Amino acid sequence: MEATIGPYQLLIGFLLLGIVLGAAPLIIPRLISPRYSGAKTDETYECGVDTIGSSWIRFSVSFYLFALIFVAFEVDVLYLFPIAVVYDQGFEWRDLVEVTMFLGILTLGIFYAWRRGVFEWR
Amino acid sequence: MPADFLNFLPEATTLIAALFALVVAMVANNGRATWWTSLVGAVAVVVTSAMGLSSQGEPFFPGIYQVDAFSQLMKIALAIGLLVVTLLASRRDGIRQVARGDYPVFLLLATAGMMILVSATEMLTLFVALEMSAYALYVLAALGKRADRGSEAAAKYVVFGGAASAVSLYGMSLIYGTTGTTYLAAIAAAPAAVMSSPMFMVGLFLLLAGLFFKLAVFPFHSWAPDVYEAAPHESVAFIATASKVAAVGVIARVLCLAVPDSEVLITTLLILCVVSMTFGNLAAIAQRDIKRLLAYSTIAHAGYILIGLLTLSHTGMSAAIFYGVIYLAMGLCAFTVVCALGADGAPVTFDSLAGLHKRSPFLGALLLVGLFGLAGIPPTPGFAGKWFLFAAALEQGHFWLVLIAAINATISLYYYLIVVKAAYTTEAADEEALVAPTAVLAAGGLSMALVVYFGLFPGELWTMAEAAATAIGAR
Repeated sequence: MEATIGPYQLLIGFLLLGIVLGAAPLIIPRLISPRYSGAKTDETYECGVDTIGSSWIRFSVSFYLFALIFVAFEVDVLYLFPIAVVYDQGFEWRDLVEVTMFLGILTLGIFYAWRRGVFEWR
Repeated sequence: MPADFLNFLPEATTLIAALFALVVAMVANNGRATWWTSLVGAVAVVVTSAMGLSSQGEPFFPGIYQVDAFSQLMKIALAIGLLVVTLLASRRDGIRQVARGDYPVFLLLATAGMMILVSATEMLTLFVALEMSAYALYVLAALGKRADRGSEAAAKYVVFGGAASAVSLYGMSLIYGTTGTTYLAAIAAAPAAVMSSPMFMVGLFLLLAGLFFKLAVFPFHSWAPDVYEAAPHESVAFIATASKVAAVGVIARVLCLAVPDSEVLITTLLILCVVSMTFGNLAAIAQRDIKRLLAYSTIAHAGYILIGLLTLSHTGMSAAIFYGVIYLAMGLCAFTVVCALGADGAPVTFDSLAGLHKRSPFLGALLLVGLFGLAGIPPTPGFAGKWFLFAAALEQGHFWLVLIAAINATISLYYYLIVVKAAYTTEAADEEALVAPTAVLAAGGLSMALVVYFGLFPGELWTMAEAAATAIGAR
């Protein structure tokens, strides 16, 4: 008797796989993480350097705006790589116009943030 | 290439207007200047959409973006929605002070996303357009005068919207997994065995679930009343009308993929449709806040539109498209009255309506036209729209569905008439005349003119809706 994978089995398999992939990162650390605790365990941020103060300090909200803008532009810059790869395969004015439009819109975003005072470190 | 690019003119105009308004917001940081810019932009969008009404073609890579009778009809509807809501937004007192300059920019960006959405014929393009409009709408919901209410509205909208996007993205991945393509045309051409496989059906259902969230169909509706109540009136006017048209458009396009004899799909849509209508109408009766009432009425109307969509027939799709467009006009009538009454972003209840017919005869008439339209009373397009929907369902033999829908239409008459009664028979404490800004009156006049026109001459719009259904390949 040959076992066949029917369409429903395949679907359920995918759903189970999805559940397993979601649950595994939660379960595995419980099984393999070390159980001892030392002086550094309860520290806010464990990175090999001693923490300065507690985590319950107030920090400027401008830091978060700055980080947000950094992430947005970092991701947008990724889109320049595909253009850079094909750019010298025959010059076309259309390409230049499109890249200029793309960068122009991004620049507008920076100007907007600038104008709204995001870069002023208060 | 230039001729192809002209096909993209309505969207390009919207995007350029958005960027221009952003520059004005940046330089002037003044609500008034940005509003005038966006008003000029919105008029330009209406003009270019009207010019492009009959254009056809594929301005970009083949198979990704379709400009046809369907997308152009949806775009002119969206453009009119944009213009009316921009006029409503002239009154900036309901919007938070810091955001008054930026508000029109988000209106334009949301419209641009929706315009791209109704033309997208490839799943990733569709998803990007969906998110582009959704993010702008989330922000629009947050910009009310009171920060706590705005955050409540936006947080609920974002959390539900994010979950809906994730679900539809998962659905797309299953569809891609079974058919091996993201192009809608190629998916529709897949063999029947693939189309009826459980994986494909589950993918289609998940994709539709994400889209039904936008339309506020029953199990995906829970955000609507809360968001409508807490968001600024102008944003709600836009979310309740334009975004519904875009949702009808994209659902119609996706459903035209489905195999016509898929019993499972039709039965599921049938259940959603009946529950949506009944729940929406019954819950609306209990509401005291007019925006909450209209939110539940939106859920009921999503059910009516599903009647047309679930037939999967040519007449059904035409009827759903027709109803989507007239719903935009009728909804804008009702929301113009809400915007005019809710000065300073104050909530509008039955008490605010008292004596409206004396305080402002025009707004009273506008409310009457809008609500009679939503209820489907004969000279309004609501009647013609329901007639087309019911006729299409009867053609496919859904007698019980039509009966339930007719009963629902009667229930809805009850709460629409309570609102009309509050505006016409109760006397206001002070008979002071209500003076609405000229732009709000213009918005009301425009939407009323559309409702009256489509009510008296539905034939022209019906012909366009039929051409649109043909363009998306309805059978």
